[in-house]
Amino acid sequence: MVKGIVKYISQFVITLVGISFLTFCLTYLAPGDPAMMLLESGDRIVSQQELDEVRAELGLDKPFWVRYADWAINAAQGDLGMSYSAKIPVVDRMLESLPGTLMLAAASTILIILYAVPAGIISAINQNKKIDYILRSLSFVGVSMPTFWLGLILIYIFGLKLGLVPIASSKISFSGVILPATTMAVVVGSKYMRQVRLVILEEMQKDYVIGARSRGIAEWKILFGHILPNAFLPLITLLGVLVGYLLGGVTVIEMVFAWPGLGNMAVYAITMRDYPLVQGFVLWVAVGFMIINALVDVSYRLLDPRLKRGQQ
Amino acid sequence: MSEELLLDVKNLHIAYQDNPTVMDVNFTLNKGEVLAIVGESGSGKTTVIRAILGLLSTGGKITTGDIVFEGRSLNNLAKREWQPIRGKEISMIFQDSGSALDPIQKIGKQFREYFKTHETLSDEECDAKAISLLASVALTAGVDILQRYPYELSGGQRQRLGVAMGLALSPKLLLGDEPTSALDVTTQAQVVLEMKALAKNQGTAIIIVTHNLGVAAHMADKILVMKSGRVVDSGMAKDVLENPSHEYTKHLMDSVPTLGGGRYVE
Repeated sequence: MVKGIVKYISQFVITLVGISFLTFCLTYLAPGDPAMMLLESGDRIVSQQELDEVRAELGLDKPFWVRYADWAINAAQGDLGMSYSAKIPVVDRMLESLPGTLMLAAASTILIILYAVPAGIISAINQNKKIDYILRSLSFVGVSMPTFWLGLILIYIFGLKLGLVPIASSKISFSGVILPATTMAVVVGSKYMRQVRLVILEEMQKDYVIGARSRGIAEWKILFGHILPNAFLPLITLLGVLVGYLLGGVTVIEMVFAWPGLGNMAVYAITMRDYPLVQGFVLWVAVGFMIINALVDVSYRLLDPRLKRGQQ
Repeated sequence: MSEELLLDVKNLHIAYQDNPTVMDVNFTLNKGEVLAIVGESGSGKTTVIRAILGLLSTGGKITTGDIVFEGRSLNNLAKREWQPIRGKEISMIFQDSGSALDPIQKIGKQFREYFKTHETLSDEECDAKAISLLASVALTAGVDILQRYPYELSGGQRQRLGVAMGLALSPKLLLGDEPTSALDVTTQAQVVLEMKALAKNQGTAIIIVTHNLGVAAHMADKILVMKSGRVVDSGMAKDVLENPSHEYTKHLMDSVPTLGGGRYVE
């Protein structure tokens, strides 16, 4: 058990170092000069001396390896540096946008589960019947729709024509999260619904289902007592991937709805060549995914007796 | 042995996605009788017993013919009508009884679910019944087994468990789908004996599907030999084994391995 945790944490650290190093390389290679971006405003002509001063201030004059080492040592202590554009610590800047992303991710996840799980189950148990075809066609439409387009349509109908929800919100609010979360639920949820359907169909083919039928167990008991508990593990894994994706802030959605989340922040940071902020964002996405993975792993250990007993 | 008719399979044809897999199978089974269906894999023997319990896998269908159990046709029964028959009147032992159980549920809980489907029993009564059943198939650590998951038992234990479950509610007919073929020879012999003794006690008729003529010879009153979906030889076990009328049966007999000079088939 302890050995497992140590192994887990060391994998965690190695992955983080790898990811942060790669992004560091990419930002290093990317065209554009942050010092220039900061100084340029209007028609002002920037002198070489000014540029050099700003570069020195930002540490951009140091060699690549020194810059990465500096960053990594500080990051290990929880200091991700100063945002060039916002002139505040990266961590503070990210904490400003985090609640928006968390709220959108949570609302989307709830809607996705509410829509995709029942629809997937109904579709699976009625395989190749009318209701299955209808649900599958709808999900196909949902999957195929571009998020920004669906987002704009929803804004047009519910925001502009019916005036039920705000069109855009610069602050997070409950009424403001409804449309972006619904858009996510339709597009991402439709994909998940198809996955749910497949997982359930696969479980329904297993021998234990035939076994339970041969013992005369009622179909609904087989579904709720056996198939769903067994399908739970693969479904949790798939949901984990999805939540990890949402935690990174879904940029397109956040842009369309002007939702103040990490996705919006990331785009701004990239436009401004705000490398520390980009770094911080990538690190967050990686950490988010790894936390979700860890949670999925833990749930496996709790739910699957084959793993539970193995560790005792 | 009473001569009362239990099961009458008439002119049975089964197709999977319009591909005929079983053709023109006819046999009758009296109460308490043991029938062995012998044949190589792919001969359609498992399909026949699956059809008896209405458990053909997706795409499988009885195209013509009928299965009559105690005077009642089992063809075209609704799901709701099947439930009181399955596991109570007719039960089944699978090749791997472990995989016929939910892998993430304790065995005790699955016994309870099974018993409560057909009888009014408390949890304690279910457990006591399960423990005594397990003891009857030489699984003495019943209390412990009920707390285990199917994967935690050995192959032999799983098949014994299958026998115990299959005969738990004294069914009139027990279907065995290669119930011993995954076991080593010694365990196989023991499980066969246990199954036979228990069934005899309860007056349960058995249809056992096997590719092992030794098992068939040991258990069966009647034998049905199948090849490519058709019955090629049938009759009382002794007659079929002593005077095989079909080339294929002779061929099967010849392929039974010999042990110490004598065939396992007596």
